[in-house]
Amino acid sequence: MTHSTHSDPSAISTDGLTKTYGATTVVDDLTVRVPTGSITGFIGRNGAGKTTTLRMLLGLVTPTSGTATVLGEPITAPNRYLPSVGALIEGPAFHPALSARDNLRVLTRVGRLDDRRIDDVLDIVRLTDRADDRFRSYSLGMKQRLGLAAALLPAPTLLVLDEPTNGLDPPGIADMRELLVDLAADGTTVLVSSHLLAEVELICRHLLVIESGRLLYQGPVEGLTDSHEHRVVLAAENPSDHERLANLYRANGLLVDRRRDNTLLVEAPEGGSARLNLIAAVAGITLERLESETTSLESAVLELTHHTEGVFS
Amino acid sequence: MIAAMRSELIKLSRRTSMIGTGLATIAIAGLGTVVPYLTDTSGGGGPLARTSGATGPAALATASGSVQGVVDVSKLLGVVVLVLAALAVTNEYTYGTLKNSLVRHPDRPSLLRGKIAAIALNATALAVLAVVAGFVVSLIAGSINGTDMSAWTSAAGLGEIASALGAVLVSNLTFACLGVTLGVLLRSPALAVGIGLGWILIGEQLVGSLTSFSDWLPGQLVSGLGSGTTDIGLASGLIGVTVWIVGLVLIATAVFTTRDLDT
Repeated sequence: MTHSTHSDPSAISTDGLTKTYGATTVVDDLTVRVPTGSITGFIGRNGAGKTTTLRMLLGLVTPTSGTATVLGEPITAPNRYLPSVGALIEGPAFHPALSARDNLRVLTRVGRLDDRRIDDVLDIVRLTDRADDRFRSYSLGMKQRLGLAAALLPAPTLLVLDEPTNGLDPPGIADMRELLVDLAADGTTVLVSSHLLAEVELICRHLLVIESGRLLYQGPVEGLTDSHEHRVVLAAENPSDHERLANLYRANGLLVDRRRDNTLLVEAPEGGSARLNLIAAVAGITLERLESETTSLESAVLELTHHTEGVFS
Repeated sequence: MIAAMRSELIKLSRRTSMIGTGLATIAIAGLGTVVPYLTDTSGGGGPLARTSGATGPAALATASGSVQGVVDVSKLLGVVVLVLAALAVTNEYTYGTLKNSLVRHPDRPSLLRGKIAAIALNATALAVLAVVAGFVVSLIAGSINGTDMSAWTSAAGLGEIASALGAVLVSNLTFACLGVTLGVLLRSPALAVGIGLGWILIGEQLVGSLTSFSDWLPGQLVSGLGSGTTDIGLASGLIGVTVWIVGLVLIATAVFTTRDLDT
């Protein structure tokens, strides 16, 4: 399908990757790059094609067309790169009657890994105390942590995680976040699929956004959040001045909204806050509040997907 | 393949699985020995085990008396292995664990060979257990009845025990491959076990009544080899069994290797 591209600095690289099932195209001509050493968020609503893409990258599903490389090796030869890849796909899957330790031993044996690694990863995910309990007795969060432990068994250089925070409580999510950041700091490339955009925004520096199998955006998080109009929230010392102030800004060609919290939202060019302040000062209006409104990833992605078919489910 | 086999053995050595299959095997072997002894039914001489057509209490005194009952129920013993094999494969799909194994061991033919090897080891252990159970039950029955069991320890008697082990082993291995193949094809525990049992216990009889090659169907073949209910000779029978095993493994490998793991 493709040849090894050792010169490609990307940990993952796809070109026109496509998967169809009958008449349905699940992944459509996907061309993306995942930078080595980054934490990349892979986002899109349910059914957008994220999991199918990940399965193709892991050699579980054969693409209908297109090519891809993982760690410089073609996905047609998964035995060359999977020993360096850890993965948690579509939730933790283990044998319910086996203990956590035995479930991990199943994987160390089939992957020819050192059994001593089991204790290491159980310690990382804080399951050592429950290591000999059956998997079926675990809570959802514990199962998720065991799934992460399994992904960490090979001490991977690429970690592929599909919705890793599902079922985790807030401290568990924070632990997961800290772990991923630490792994990336040590040089591990992390590709994390999630629909929790706030979480993605906290840890990811790079983004892939897909919708209906098609790529909507790839690049740094800031590239998505900063591509929108700069917004400034302001409030006059005397709220009765808001009407006059809004008219002044409109007269200067700016878009103004009055908000329910008795503030004004003004869309202004980057660095426009000084001008807004000047306009108010010239009119004799004192501003009590003047601050930039950060565009969240969630609103940016929502806006991006609104331009296609809808919003995340 | 060795790595995959060692991994599979962890799953197969679960206590509940071992106790369940072990008890089922002992029960079938025990009943297979006791029931003919009590009911004194007639039988014929099979190529793998029997040297005598004697039945009931008289059969116990023959060289094959210690294991005759086990050989007669080799098909039922094989059904236990079929269920074990089918569940070993389909549970991977049900639990979603196959993707974990394939990420750690992407060589699919090797992974399947390892799984089959582990199941075959288990099937071998169950065959030994069945023969031992049959022997013990025969020993108890013979002791109660005051039967002369000296023929059991003669050269012919020991040969009968070896032949019985061979017959049960051949049956178990054939059914193991059938279970694996059904598991790979159907991916559902209920479907694989249901269709497997339906075919062995009912389907083959129906097909056999409509065709002239019923003796070559897998269940009939392994059963006939042991119990002597077929005209097929030992050599031809073993060739037939080999063809079935190889064919089933090839089908399972082809499907397992090429099919997307998309669920």
